[in-house]
Amino acid sequence: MSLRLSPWRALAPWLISLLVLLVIPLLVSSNGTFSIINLIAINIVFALSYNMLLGQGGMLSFGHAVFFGLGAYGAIHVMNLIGDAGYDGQGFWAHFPVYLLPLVGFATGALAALLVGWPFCRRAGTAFAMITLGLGELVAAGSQMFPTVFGGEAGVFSNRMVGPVWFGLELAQPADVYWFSAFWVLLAVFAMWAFTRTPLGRMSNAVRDNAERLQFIGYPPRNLRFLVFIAAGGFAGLGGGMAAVNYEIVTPESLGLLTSGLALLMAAVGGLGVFYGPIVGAIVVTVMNSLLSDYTDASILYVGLVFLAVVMFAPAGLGGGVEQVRQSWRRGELTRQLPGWLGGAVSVLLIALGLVASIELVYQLSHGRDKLAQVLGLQPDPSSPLVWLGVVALFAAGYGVARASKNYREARS
Amino acid sequence: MSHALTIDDLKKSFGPAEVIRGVNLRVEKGEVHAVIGPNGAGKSTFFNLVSGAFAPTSGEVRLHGQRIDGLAPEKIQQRGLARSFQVSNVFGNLSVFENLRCACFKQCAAGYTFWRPAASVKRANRRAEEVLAMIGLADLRDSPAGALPYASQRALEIGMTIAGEADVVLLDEPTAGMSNTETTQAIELIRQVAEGRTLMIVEHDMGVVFELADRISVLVYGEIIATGTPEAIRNDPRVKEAYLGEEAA
Repeated sequence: MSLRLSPWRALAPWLISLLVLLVIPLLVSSNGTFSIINLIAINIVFALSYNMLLGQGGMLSFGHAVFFGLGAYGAIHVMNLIGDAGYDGQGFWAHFPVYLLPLVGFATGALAALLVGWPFCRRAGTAFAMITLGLGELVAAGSQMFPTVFGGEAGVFSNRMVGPVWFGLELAQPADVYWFSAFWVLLAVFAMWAFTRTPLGRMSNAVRDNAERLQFIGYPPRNLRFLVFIAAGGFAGLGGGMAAVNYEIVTPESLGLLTSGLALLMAAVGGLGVFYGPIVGAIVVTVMNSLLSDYTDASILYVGLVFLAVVMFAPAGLGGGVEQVRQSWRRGELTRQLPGWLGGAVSVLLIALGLVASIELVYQLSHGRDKLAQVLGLQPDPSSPLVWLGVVALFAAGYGVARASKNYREARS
Repeated sequence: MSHALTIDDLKKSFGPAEVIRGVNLRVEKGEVHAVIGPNGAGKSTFFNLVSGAFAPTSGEVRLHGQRIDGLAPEKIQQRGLARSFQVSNVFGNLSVFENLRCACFKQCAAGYTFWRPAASVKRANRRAEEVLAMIGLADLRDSPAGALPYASQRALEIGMTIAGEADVVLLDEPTAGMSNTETTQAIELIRQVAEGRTLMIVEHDMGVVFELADRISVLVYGEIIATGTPEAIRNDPRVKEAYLGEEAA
């Protein structure tokens, strides 16, 4: 009983989120930054919807982008309907604001999941993963066969400056789209959080933990998986609807394996076991994807390395790490445990620096120039043994600190 | 019908291996019925057939007179038969309370509900708290079930089995692997569980069996060779030879 949160404690994260969303436009002015923030909002919804399957329901999907993409297509086609209806102002769509298109995305994604999901949900595990992989490839390939629906390789274009405008909420600049994204990301995150608190949300955790036992408390696992699959498809579609409004174009790429992989990447980097983990993951991965290429030519490699490092050394993800520190603080053990963890962080940093240096040096060797070196205003000579000695020193120092902090942690555990 | 369970000529083969070879058994309403037998006699298979984990090869199982053989486990659970497992079989990442509450949702028809919080399903919450107190795990209410000490996990196992208010309960070796003190506590708990319910238990510990059971059936090589009161079973020469004899020797 004592662990139940007071209303204020339960409300605090939402009030803080609201505050952050209100403050962001005061600090940001460039359209480029707003574009990245809008993309983060889309990816937060997408990553969280993915975690409804994997983290909450124990279903590893390689085809979640299908529902994201179909939601986006549903939304962009309706956006075109709104545009067409605008010429004479007649009909239902003439009165449908673009602001509500994520709802169309939700409906499209959920309907698609409802139509295809039942046979998939018989088993979780490898069978489910393989089937969803097949679905993803099937839909991505099949989309090329229906150019009127999917627009061929170029995709479907539209214009978001159509239809009725409510409360003066126009969608001209990325800064305008920001309010649209902020509204929907907050609503979607709250809805998905609330879902975890419902009986179905809890039962989806139960089916993840032990599907066999579930039968003996009266529920066939398949029904529960199917309902979670539909809900996850709906929220992925909602994210797709946000993307359609944000970009005014949807291409078949949004249905494909790369997009599905992005969802897994974001959720895993952020942490599957904590509700806010995928939010953290979506922010980190989106920022890396968007900004890193300004500083280095090997940006994709770094995203991959971060993913590898998290999976190998911090399987609970960044969110899991935050949660570990929080619990240690609650138990009053933080002062005892923090030095060991900080040591670990320093060692990771040193080894990462060594890795970055060697990757960029090799890049300079093979291409004759290196972006990161130029950005930093450095002119290292990759053929000089001294430079490489420095790299080796970084690795050695990282290893040493790692060993020392591991011993420290073990001595105090 | 005064029989809670009626089992007629129940058989189960796995390929050429006939594991259950024609079991006939009547379990009376409200009794504690123990099924004993040497290792490999088919006790667990027998439980799996009755609870729906496997479908029988032939034969009939009736719950309060209605056929349940071949039904899916969740259908059998809905008709009022619940079982526990020999190896603890809980939802490891969920809290003790959440394990119990999930086991209560069926009775409230709430498991598929996504339009209101679980905390507002009053009946499930009340029942979960009740069972929590009954199995003596109130202190561990918010611990993850997978991290519980062994005996507590066994108690939770029983708690989840009875949380759904089934009136026929099958317990598969509820005291296996427990210390003496833990066993005494478990017997106390099983006594409480038995109140107002029909209980069938598989158990290795003869002390537990003779303490709890109203009647005992002896399963040997897939057949029931004797059914009777503990006194009658103790003195049955066939049983002595087949089973108790091993312990006496």
